Amino acid sequence: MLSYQTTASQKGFMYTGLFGIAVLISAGISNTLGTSPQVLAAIALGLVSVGVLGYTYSSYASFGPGIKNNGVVFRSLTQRGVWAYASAVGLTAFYVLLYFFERQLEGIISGFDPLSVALSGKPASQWFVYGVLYTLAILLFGIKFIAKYRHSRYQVIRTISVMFFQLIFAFLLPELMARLNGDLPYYDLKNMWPLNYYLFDQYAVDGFISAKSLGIGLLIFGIVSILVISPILTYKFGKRWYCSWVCGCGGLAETAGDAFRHLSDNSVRAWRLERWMIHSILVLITLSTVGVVHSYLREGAGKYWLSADLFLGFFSLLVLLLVTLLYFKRREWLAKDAKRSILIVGAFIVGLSGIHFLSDNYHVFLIPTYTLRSAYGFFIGSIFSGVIGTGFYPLLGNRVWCRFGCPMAAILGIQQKLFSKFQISTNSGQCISCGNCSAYCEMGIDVRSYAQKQQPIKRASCVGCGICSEVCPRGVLRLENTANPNQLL
Amino acid sequence: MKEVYIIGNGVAGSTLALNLSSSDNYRVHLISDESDFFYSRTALMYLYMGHLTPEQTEPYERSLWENSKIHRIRGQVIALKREEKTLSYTDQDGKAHNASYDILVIATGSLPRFLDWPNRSLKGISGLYHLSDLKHIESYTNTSNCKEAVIVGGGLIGVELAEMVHSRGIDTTLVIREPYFWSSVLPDSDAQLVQRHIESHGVHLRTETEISAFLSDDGTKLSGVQLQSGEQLKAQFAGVCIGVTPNTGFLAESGLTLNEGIVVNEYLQTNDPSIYAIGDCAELSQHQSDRRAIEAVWYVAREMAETLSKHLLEGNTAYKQSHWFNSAKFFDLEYQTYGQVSSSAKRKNSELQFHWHTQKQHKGITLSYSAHDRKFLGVNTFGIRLKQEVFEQWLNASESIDTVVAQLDLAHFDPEFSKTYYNDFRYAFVSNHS
Repeated sequence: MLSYQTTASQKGFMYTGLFGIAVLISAGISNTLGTSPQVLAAIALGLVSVGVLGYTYSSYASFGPGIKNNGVVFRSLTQRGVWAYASAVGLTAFYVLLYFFERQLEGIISGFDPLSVALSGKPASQWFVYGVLYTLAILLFGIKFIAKYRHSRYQVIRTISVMFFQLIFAFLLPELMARLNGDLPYYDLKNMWPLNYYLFDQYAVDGFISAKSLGIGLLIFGIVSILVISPILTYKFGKRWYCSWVCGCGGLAETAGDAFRHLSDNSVRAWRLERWMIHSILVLITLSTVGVVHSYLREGAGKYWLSADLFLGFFSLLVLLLVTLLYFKRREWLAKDAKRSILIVGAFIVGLSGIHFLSDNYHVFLIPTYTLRSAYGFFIGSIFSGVIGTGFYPLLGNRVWCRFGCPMAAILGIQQKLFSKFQISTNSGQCISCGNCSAYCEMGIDVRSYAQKQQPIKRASCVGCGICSEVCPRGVLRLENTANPNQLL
Repeated sequence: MKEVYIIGNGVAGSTLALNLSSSDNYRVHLISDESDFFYSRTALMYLYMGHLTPEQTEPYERSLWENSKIHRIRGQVIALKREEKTLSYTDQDGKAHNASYDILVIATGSLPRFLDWPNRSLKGISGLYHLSDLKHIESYTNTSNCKEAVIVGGGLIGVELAEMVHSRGIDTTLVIREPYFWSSVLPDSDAQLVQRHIESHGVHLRTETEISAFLSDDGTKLSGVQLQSGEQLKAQFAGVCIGVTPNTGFLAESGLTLNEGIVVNEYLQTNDPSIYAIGDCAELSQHQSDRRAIEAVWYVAREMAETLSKHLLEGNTAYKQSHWFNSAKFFDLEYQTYGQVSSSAKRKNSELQFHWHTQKQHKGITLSYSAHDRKFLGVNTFGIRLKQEVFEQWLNASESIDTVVAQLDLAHFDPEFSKTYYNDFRYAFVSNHS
């Protein structure tokens, strides 16, 4: 294991980065230090950048292009050692502070005021700080990822794509849009419902409406995104067009989380848990969104162009259409999945009738709408996607949220499984069952179990990152958009 | 219900066991002296280099074995009494057991080949085949005293072991008997391409020489090797990778027909009708002229297991050698081959070859074809992934080299956005042949 231990220069850069984080924390108590938080924040981000880029250089510069997984399972940070636990605790603490102890972060937040004023004209909030750090993480670790996988154009282009979408769409555009039109709610164009579960909340919809044509346009784009754009793109390219090329959660997972991808559990048991969890969350968010929209439409009857009944009617029709398609057009090979999907959709309908018959303005299933909603926001939107999803990278792997929690991934996954041309093809009998593909699949797919049987891989959860194909020593796997899509229509 | 005993849980034995376990006609017993669960031997290098944990190298989840009807036995077979149809084995505690079989399948694989070099039992010398070999290699190379290593043998295992020890910062020299790396199999042009790639990683090569002795300063530990060329190389570890021999030692008294391996007919059956042999240890009594009697590779072992499964489940299925294919990875350079591309030493005048490679990156393609009718014979590729299915079709259809060159894109299997070289290749081919 001798030479797999971290080298002196790698250690030096790691400590530089950690020191940068310490400086950032010190910005929170800078009043007692006598240095302005703005200066400390700038120094901190500089040190973190030097740390990550220096670590990248010292790790990959002296090696030629190719797979760089030597020692992955021997290192403390990447194989659930002390460093992994320490990082998980640190990351989790950061999320807890961010979500629940905003006050304690005031000093740090004020350090980001100059940047925030320059972009949106407003002082920084904790979410602006989070946005800066998130974007910086994707950019810095994106460069590290590109250096590591520079032998593969697919990886390089894909990573430039997630860096671009994070920097422009998630970070800069919403800030600039807020500057142009103060009524507009923060809107990351690429962030679709249901990942962006508050998109159709009353305050957001009111914001869009009061922002006139631009706002209405954005609202319509939001609806078209999930109903029209996403099925078309998933049909052509698989869910990867979103999950590993565009999405911010996916972007962070692919870049900052890359070192932990092999920690994803690829047992059959984990797969079963994944299917139950992700589809339950999809049902939950759909019900609660429909409930919320329905109740404010009814409450503010006359204020909105759409009536509550029409909304419910339209939605029920959509659901019925889906059920009919699944029930009458499903293919034999879909049996298990189709049954599951029909179950989900059936639950939708029960939920809908529940809303219609049992609700007054504030209740879904006799549970207050906004309680259900804020419970979702708290447990799924904050705890699951942030604290566990990112905080636990070093322990559970980098795609825990995407795999077990994300309702967007659930929808795209159903689309991918039912009607996509995307699949991973295998090269006949070339598999040697070594296990690299399964080990490095961040979604915990047992890729080898298909490859050694010479079967193509068509799994709802596959985000098309392409790493299985990279680490395969015999060139057995290829991501393709040419599969027979088993169309439903 | 027939009792089937399978000796060896490698890819041959395990594949067969899994296939037969679904049938009610057989009770399957799988004996291994190496591991509790089937693991991928080809992943040994990734265990050592820290890419994979031991469990990740196992092709099937452990629960699959535990829930199957297969009776797994950890033990070593010591004797075989064919007249009584019984075998005896010792378990891990050294206790002896007897078992009677209706069908016995021998899938014991290979052992690394050693020559009778002086001092070959010094500490610090190992082959690379068995899990226990890996333990030895680990203990010999995982000390700060191991600074230099010599790997003997210019073949697939040799370069794997070189990559392994080199990855730990050990100064590594590969000693090769032939003029170039693996030129016993590859045409010289291809062998030189691979050799350039290996050298670009900082591994030293000594070609056209063999070792004549292992050296030791203290009489117990290896300190160097002596080459026939007269050169002495310092080494605290020496890997011996000059090939493998079938693991059949325990059958010497059994009365089974042994040549180099266990001789089997087209049904993979030995001279005893209730005993079969598959995988590395099986030697075909009859084989195609362009193939060998023993082919100690993963794919052949798996194919034999599939064939024997079918034979035992459905009856009357003979093993037929399909078109040859193989693959490997030399450091970062992937290699695939389909069909027949002879080494320069073995190439006859009836086989023509066209080799092309890029100047900077180590990418290359070699096509071979028949001199008299331009029939396509085979392909080697380096750093370019090509589709096996397409080449199978071309080989089955006896396609001409010109068609293959013209339609090479059909076999494209590199990842999306990869730079393609088909036009460069075509241009080079045409300008060479007109």
